[in-house]
Amino acid sequence: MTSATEQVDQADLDQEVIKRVLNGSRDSFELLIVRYSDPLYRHALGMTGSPDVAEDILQQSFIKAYAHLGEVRGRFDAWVFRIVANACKDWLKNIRRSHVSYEEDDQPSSYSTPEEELDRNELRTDLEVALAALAPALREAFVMKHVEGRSYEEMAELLRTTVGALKMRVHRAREALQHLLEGKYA
Amino acid sequence: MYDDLHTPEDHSETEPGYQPPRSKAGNNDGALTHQAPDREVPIPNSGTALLHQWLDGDVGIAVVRATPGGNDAVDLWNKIHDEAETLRSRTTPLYVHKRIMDSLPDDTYRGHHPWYKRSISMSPAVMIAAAAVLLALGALIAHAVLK
Repeated sequence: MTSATEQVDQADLDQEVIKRVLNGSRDSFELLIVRYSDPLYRHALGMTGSPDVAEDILQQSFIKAYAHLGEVRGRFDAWVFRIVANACKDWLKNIRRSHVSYEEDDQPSSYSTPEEELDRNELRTDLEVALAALAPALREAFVMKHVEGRSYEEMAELLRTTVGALKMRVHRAREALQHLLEGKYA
Repeated sequence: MYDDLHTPEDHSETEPGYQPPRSKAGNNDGALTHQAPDREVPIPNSGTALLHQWLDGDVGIAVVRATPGGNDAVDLWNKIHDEAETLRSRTTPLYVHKRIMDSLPDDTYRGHHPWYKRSISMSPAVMIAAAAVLLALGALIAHAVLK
């Protein structure tokens, strides 16, 4: 977890970069992309289940962030996170897909045996189907808590809501997932 | 940054006799009513409540395993946790950075400042040459004026 001091330092550095971009240094924007793309990509991947869609959402979000960079008030990372989070929820609301999977990419396998890989692929598929059945707000809370490993306080700050409301969403998401998966895996 | 699903077994709240705070809620209606707006979390049965507390890192795994059906629930969530770990290690493919940079418009912020306010970059060699030219020009002008 990053400390509050580190966060303040990072925010100052971001403001410097933003100033340079607004003064015409387009290339400086790449610093922000490199700095924040990984957590944003993971969020989009967790929300959509598709690497291709996650890449598209990331690209569109950074283009939008670049176009509106002069409107950043406060932390850039929180601001750009909300752009990505809203894009993910819009995608989930607009495109109802029955099945999407992380499997469509070519990440190297880390499993020791083909049987283990087969089991894990099955769980991955079932988990993705179960996540797809959740309401976007529940999926978002679950992904932020269990995939991104964020604290409730951090989630509340990013999503501008209360810790209590987020706990409720995470609890509901867990119960729904458990209900959908326990017959097969528990 | 990451909360650990696997709270250590020796967590102090796992000691015999420990009662999770939520199990006492029913005995204190006044306090509960007062705090309700902040909680917003319905009180489930104790096994489910303990499972959530374990997943939030508030109690140890042994407490959950001791509840009816607790072993199955823990095993399921360990599998889900392993899958989440895989996703957590993912990074943005490098070509995506380039794709984003290539798709940014060139002139969004170029026109915001007049040319004389923009920063310029210059190599040391160019800087020295420019200084030499300016000195020579100054000397020529001085020579012409003093003549």
